[in-house]
Amino acid sequence: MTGDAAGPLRLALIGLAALSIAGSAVELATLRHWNGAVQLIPWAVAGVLAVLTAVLAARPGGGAVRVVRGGALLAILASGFGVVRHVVANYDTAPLDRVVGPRWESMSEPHRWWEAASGGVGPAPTLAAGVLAQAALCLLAATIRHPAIPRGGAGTAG
Amino acid sequence: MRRSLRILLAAGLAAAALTFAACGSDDDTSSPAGTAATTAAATTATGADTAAATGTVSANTASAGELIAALEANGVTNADKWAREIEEYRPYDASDPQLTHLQDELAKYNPDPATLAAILEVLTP
Repeated sequence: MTGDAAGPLRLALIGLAALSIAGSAVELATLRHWNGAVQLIPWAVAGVLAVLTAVLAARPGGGAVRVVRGGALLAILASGFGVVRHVVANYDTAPLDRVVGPRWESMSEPHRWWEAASGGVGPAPTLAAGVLAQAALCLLAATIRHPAIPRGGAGTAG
Repeated sequence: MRRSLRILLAAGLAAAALTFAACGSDDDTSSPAGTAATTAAATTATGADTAAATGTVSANTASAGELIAALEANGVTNADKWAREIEEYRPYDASDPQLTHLQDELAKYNPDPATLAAILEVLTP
């Protein structure tokens, strides 16, 4: 029987993904991130990632591993969308800020977008949505040379 | 165009308030036969009268246009953006006249304290 030499590392990555997903869910709940349909997207992404994590932890077959890879890639895209939405939200509400607001009209567009993206203005944490992308990357990494997917020459199987 | 409509709406509300206030002083001379109907109509209009007269609107039920008009009438700049945020964080506790939940949410935008006060002045739960 061929073992998975990377098994412990694979489990560690799956565990890290699980922790990131759980932490994200707690953060979303404390922020009451459910005002409108768009704010429900990270909840759906977290749910999908949780399922993919469970699938990967349960010694899946090759097909399931491929599904995990595809789902993780979609989650990364969704997280990127979330980061963009946060930056745009900060940009839109910048005129309301008592420090930045008075000089907003005189600022150049690049400067405005930099303030919005770098946390200089607005209520949305710009990179917070990236935590789910990190979890997805952990899952992707956990599928590298997965024993359920035969490799040419090695012929391993889970 | 939209700004002109908001100004007209605010002016209309102010005119309505003055009109109802003037009509209210004539109620003492109304005939007994029409008192009940007059009272009912006056009761129905009381909420609108009060809101128009005091410039307050409900944070829970006011439309975007009503919110914007009330905010602008009280000197709040970027009224459209503030109105959108007020709508976003509904509903508000009807038993909380201070609108504590709304205050907490609007604080995230780091507003000028005077602006925040002006916003809350025109809002009721």
